[in-house]
Amino acid sequence: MAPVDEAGPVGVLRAQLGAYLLLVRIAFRQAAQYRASLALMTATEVAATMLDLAAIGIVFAHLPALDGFSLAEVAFLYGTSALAFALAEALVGPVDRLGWHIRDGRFDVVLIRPVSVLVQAATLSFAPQRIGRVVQPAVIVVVSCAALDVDWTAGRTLLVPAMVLCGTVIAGSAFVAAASVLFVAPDATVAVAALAQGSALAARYPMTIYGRRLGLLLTVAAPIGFVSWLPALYVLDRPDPFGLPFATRFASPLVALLAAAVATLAWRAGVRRYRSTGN
Amino acid sequence: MTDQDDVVIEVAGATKTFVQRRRGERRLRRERVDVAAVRDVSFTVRAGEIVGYLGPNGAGKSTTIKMLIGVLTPTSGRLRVAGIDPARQRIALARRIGVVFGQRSTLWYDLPLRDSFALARHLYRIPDDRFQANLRRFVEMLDLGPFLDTPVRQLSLGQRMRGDLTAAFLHDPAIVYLDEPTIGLDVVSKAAVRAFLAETNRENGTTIMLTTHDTADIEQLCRRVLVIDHGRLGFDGELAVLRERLGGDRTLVVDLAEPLPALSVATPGARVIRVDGPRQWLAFPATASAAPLVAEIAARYPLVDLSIREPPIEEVVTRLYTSGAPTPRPAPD
Ligand SMILES: Nc1ncnc2c1ncn2[C@@H]1O[C@H](COP(=O)(O)OP(=O)(O)O)[C@@H](O)[C@H]1O
Ligand SMILES: [Mg+2]
Repeated sequence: MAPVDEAGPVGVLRAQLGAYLLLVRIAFRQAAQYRASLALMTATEVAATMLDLAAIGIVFAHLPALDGFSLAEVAFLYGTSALAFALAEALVGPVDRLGWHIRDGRFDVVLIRPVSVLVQAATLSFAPQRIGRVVQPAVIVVVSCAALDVDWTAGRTLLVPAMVLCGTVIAGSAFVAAASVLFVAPDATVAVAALAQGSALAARYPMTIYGRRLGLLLTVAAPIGFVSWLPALYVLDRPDPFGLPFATRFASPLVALLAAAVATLAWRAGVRRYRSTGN
Repeated sequence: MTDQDDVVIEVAGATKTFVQRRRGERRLRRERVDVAAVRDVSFTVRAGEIVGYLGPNGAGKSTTIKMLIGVLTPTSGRLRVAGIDPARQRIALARRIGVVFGQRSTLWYDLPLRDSFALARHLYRIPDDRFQANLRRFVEMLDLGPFLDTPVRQLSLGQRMRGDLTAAFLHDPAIVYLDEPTIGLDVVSKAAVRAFLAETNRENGTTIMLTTHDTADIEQLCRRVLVIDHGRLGFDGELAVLRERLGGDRTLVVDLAEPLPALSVATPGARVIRVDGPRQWLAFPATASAAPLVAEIAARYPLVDLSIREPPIEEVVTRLYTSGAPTPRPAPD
């Protein structure tokens, strides 16, 4: 007989969220033990972010238009997708370290705690300083929104945070789905990380730069076009160069749900196939 | 299905096969080899039992335990722990069991013990009064006080193991699994671990299943033992029965008042196997009483002190598997 959790699905979700926040707090406390190195890493992150911002500024300044997109439009695309990926990275990015933990035999312990494996995998190598990476794209989003020459209707205004949220879910789901492979092939850490970085890079630019075939593939199948490209077309009030139905611009929440479902299934399949280490 | 109410662990035909990839002899291609770590193992454990799970290295002990705690999904067979399918309802199970790995800590490496326990209180949602009472009791029993505020990575193996034991019992689990909990420990820590397990079993009725290579662990804790080798269960019953069935020699160690040549004794089956100054070692059949031998020596030689050693479990287990076909398992009770 299956014991029923009194709290129900909502209660379970709340409990797991609580566990996530608690474990993140612990990660901060553990990182604080190595105060010098934390300070150094944070300083490095901040410096890197500033350099990044400067570099982007220079590129954009010398790039009046990209494939017919204005500077502000390109910046908006870049900022919203980069922000979504940075948020996903901050929340679940460390799942790609799973392979290391498995190989070192540190993962058995995770499976015996009454906390979701995903929550633990996402917090096991949580790096507090990585939160800093959200700053740069957030700045770009704000600046580009101010510079955009569009009619800020309620719909457009609301779509911006909504698309970032959906984009975060899609990107996070992609990270988790890719990391699921590590349960079976713990040595694939580098490949999985490369895939995540690659899709983050690919999502930043107008999909038209990849040409029609690859562009469509990336947009719909990957589906990084739903991270920011398609909803951005609505915000920017532009026709779809690929001629996709108008409704696709509002499909991001649906795609996000779908992506989350696929990621959940992949993750569960991975946990079931976890083979531990012989010692 | 009568009288099954207090069965807390139920394993029926559990099998786990690993696919190992090995580098081929000549070719560069790796070949796949199926390793059957556990084959068709069945047993049940009742609430409140302490069961020793024995077998040589690579026998399948850890694999069985990992299936019971929901870490590994069995290839086939049925497992139930407290009525729960371990691999399918991992989180529900995790609240009811405790696990100790001798080779690996379940604690947070960079946190002091105290913080690790506080974290466990939240993750396991232990009621505050239970938590405080348990912690106070375990700290006293295991003498954790002096190193409660030391980060785990700075603890000695013995200290760490006491911390791990505490963490495994804090949430009042019904069942606790320990995989080689005394490995590498000093004598004092080993004694502390055994005393702790014996008391929690007696006071809380905690069901305990442990693997070990230490004879004393088994002798002091387990009435019942399971023996596994090459993934197959070969014995399930009382330790005394296992010993009796397999024979083997016990050892009588005598300290004499002065160094003497090897004693000549008339007791059947007894013989001196080692002499070191005034101390001599005599082997005699495990099935025989030590009394006649001791009496004979005391009567004829200047006996100062003596002790008796049981045949090491490892030896008994090896004998089980070299004595031909595995003995049929008697049904428990
Ligand atoms: N994660 C694993 N992957 C592949 N083979 C394993 C794994 N774990 C155990 N084995 C193999 O299964 C067999 C039993 O191992 P194990 O259960 O660890 O034995 P024990 O704990 O009794 O020493 C061994 O042959 C071992 O090599
Ligand atoms: Mg083992």
